[in-house]
Amino acid sequence: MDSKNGYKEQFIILITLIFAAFVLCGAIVVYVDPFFHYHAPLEGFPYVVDNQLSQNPGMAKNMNYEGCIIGSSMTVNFDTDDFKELLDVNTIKLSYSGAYPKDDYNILSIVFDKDTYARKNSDVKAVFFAMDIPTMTADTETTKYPLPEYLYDDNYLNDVKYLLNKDVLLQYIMRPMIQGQGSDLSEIYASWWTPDYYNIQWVMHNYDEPEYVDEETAADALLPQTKENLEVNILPFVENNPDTQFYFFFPPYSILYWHNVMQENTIEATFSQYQYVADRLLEYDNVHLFYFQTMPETLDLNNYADYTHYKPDINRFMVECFKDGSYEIHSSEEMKNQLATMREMIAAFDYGELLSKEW
Amino acid sequence: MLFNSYEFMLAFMPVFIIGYFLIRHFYRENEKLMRLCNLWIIAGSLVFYALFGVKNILVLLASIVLNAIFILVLNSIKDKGTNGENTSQRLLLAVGIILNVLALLLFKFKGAFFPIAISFYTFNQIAYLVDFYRGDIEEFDLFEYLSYILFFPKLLQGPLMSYGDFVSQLRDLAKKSLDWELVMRGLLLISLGLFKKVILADTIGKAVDYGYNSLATLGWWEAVLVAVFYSFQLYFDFSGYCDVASGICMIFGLELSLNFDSPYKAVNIIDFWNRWHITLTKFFTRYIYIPLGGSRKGAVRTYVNIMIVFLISGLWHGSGWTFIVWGVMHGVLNMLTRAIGSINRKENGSPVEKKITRAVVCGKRLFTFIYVTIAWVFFRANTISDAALLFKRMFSGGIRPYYSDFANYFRLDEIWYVFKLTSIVKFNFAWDLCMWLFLAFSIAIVFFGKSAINYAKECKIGIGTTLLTAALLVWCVLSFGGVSTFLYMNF
Repeated sequence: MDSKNGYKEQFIILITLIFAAFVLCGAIVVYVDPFFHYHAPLEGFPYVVDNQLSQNPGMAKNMNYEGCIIGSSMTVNFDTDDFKELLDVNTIKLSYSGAYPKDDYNILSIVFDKDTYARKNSDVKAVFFAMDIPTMTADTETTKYPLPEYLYDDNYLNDVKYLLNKDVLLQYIMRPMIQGQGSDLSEIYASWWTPDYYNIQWVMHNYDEPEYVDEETAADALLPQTKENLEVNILPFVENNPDTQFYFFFPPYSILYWHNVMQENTIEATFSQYQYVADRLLEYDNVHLFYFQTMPETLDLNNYADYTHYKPDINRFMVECFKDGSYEIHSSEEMKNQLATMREMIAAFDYGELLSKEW
Repeated sequence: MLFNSYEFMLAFMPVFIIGYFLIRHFYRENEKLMRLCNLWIIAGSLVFYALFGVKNILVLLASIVLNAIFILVLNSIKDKGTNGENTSQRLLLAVGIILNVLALLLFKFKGAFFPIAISFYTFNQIAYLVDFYRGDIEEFDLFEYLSYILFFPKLLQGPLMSYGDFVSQLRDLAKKSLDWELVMRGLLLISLGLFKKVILADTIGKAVDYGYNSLATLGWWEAVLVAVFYSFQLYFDFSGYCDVASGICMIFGLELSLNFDSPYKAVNIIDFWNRWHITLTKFFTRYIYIPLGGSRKGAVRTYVNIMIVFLISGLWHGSGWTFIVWGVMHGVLNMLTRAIGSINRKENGSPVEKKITRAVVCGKRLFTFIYVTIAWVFFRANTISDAALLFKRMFSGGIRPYYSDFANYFRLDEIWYVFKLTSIVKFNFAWDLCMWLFLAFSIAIVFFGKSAINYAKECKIGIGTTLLTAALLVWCVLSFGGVSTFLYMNF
């Protein structure tokens, strides 16, 4: 390069090339929008939906739905077609594996945001909410995993992390284009366990028994944080949306879950939490509460892949219950009775035999 | 703010550079130019560092205030010229150094919070105090002092420049005009540095992390590759950082001290430390080794001094026994190398002798690399027993089948898609091919390649280098983010 102008020309070429490349990448991402951040899905594009943290907020904002599934991995095996078929609610799955109450709050805030495309098209008829009692002691401001904030806030500047992102371009635009097949939205986020994994051998072989804690947690010790989480992260949505029906359910963890509770010496505190949450939820007319832990299936570990995760058939069964009212709790007294039944089931179960075997 | 972030590359760096050039352009004839340029550097660097969080910036500011007070008091004693000034000054210097070192030790070994870059700016503070005490710095100038400590390209990982070198360039800088050639060369160097960091070091880093988290199940060659790749990761990470820092400075016309000079080409461990983190080596030599007596007090004292320096170097890099072992390993080989002395063969002998000489040099390079790699295992491992386990797996790990989980981490989508579009993917070896490509490419760069800074300085700038710069910058920026994914997470 001989002249000063030559270097300047090269600089202009360089900046033009970089700018053009960025504009092209950004334009492709905005047009396809694989995380549904800007608009509804394109007709006919085979979207791959496999990332709860990145895709849930966009789906909540820009898809057409009347109902949503909220909660942890206890909800990932729901088939949304079942909700359409049995309850006539066009439902979307917005699960977060390991969800803390703050995760539920974040996604419900978007679901009930009146300014979104989704809400302009349809009101929220129903919310199906897995109430995981163990997470109710989490910090009210903490999410289970760090969120990609740029997909959750209204700041357009940090969208650059979405627009100029190799993974978005290659994994969520190029890959589905090449494969030509997108996700079936009714089954997204389903757990990786195939039917073979749901058996007692697998559960017990991988079971890690917690160490016994000598000091018992007082019966009311977990209630303040539970109350805080309810009042901060969950109940405001119930109160502010009286026309939406909320189906809260206590997921049917296996009987082995209660062994963990006993080892951690929190059994009275845990039962108090269940009763307290039920009592608070039952105050609202738009709440339907279900307690599934007394299902006989919880006693058979062949229905599970680990001590809490049940097989998809049970998800289908729960939707049927939402329709016909089985296992529904209508009063504090009914909840008390169900918890008493639960105590009896725990007392009657032979943990010694289960745990003494070599699996 | 990190160099390899959207914020830095797309916002901070362009704004800072354009702002600096504009100030220099509009205030060219103004006497206050220097001050304005300094202020821009100080303000920009504070913003750069402040984005790491309030705690970090508070510690940095506390360090600055504390040291500024010591310097001012030292200055006032100097001005008074009273009797006994040497004792007072010496005492003040000692207290100043001790406080700096104590703060560093406290954060390193006691605190749950470790301020970013504290090791580097503390050393800069100590260097300034000592140079001021010695009279190498004639007068205290607040703006220049702050520019020296805060200058963002060298704030996070060095180089540890002497105040004199830095400030003399800073003063000249304000008088220079925009040089498009340097801008293009600087951008080329930045793109090469980012490529090393984002594409090479970070990809290798994920595989190495997997290796160290799965020690008990590694096959023998996986264990060897974990150790070797960690050597490359460190190389690309650190040299990539140095290249980006030097590239930014090159755009202005400022030359940072050379910190990295193809270290794995070193023929012995002494040579290695003259090439790896060069300014740290110089710092330890100038401020620890020589004050301890250096090599002036006999062989035994020399060896003791060497060991002290490497032990301190180990502890400076991290707390724990692993770092002590790493320091001792380097110290011991350093002593042995000095004791044995190097065998120098004449280059101008017969063709056979030349071949022998080359073979000896290759052998020495290989030995040095292997030794340094073994030492890095202790540097990286969480515990001594983890390091021992990695070595054990090298001999007892057995052979892993195609394809290994370790190799998965090298399968970048952009390369893998090329395999898929060609027939390569049909072969079994394709699953591990990306890993072998990374290895071959790393070896080529590390052992046979020209250093990035020399390439950027000497290459002919034309459409080829412009395309290369654009391609690497776009590739790296697109790779900054990624998409957060979590494998199945239990409830």
